[in-house]
Amino acid sequence: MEQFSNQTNDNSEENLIKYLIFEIGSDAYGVEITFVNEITGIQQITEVPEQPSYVLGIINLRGKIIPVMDVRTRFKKEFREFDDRTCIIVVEIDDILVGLIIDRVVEVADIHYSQISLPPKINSDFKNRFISGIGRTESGVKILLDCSKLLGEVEIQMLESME
Amino acid sequence: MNAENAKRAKDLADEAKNGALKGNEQMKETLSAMLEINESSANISKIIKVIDEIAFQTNILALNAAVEAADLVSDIAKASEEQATAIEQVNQGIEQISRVTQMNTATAEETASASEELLSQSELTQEMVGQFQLMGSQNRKKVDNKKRHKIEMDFDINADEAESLINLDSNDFGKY
Repeated sequence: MEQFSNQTNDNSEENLIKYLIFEIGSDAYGVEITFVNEITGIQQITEVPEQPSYVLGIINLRGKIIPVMDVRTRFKKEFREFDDRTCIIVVEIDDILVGLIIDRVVEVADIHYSQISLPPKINSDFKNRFISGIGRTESGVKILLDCSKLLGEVEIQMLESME
Repeated sequence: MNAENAKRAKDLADEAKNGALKGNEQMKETLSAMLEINESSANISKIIKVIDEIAFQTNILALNAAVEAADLVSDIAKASEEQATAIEQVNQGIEQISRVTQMNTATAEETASASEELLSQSELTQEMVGQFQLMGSQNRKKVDNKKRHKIEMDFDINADEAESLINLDSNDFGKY
């Protein structure tokens, strides 16, 4: 714990990056807050045919039609029924709004850049390309996601055609 | 003696019966109280669920506020950056204005010296005009005599023209 307090002593505002922390199962993930448009509870999802399994469909959020992606399925985790803690994080990637379905949102955390490590180099792990780093915080390790890589080019084109 | 015992036994039996009745009554009361407690605890768990839901919504609201605040901070940063460039532009404008003013001052100084020169030149001109005036008045007498003669001639011609015009008018008038 001491190493954290030592590292955060030289905190100045610009060295802190704000992350929205959410959980899938017992794992904590973070997305940079600048990519986050809003957070909403689970909405009625309308299925769209011929989409990859992780694109569950579209939601109508106050008139905006937003495709939603199940992050669990995207990360090849087991699908889990939604409950009253399931949330949709609406993120903006290259001017496209996408809803990320996650188990639960936790908090907005300031992570000092010195507390972020590079992702482990395991070439066989496909998830690596979404990961921008590992944040070490007092409440545990957060897997920090690179929003722009969460969607590949193919997916972006596909989502654009859905609009 | 036996009769006495029998009576006592009966009394005891009566008491026992009353006790049992009372016990039964109390049992019923306890039962209904238990039912009430059950109902209340069901209500409590409903209320807890509502509070939980409110806490969840509040948390989402707070997180959305944090997201908005981050947007606002970046907006403010952008605005202050724009303001800085605007101030820089204003500074440049002011510098340019002061440069132009300096140039104008120099030009004005030149103009002043030029106008001074103009003044001395105009004084010279005035002097020359004075000399011409003197020469002019000496020539005037000759010119006046010639002029008078010409005016008299002009007057004769004008009188003849006027007479013919009057005659013409009265003739035309007769036609109508």
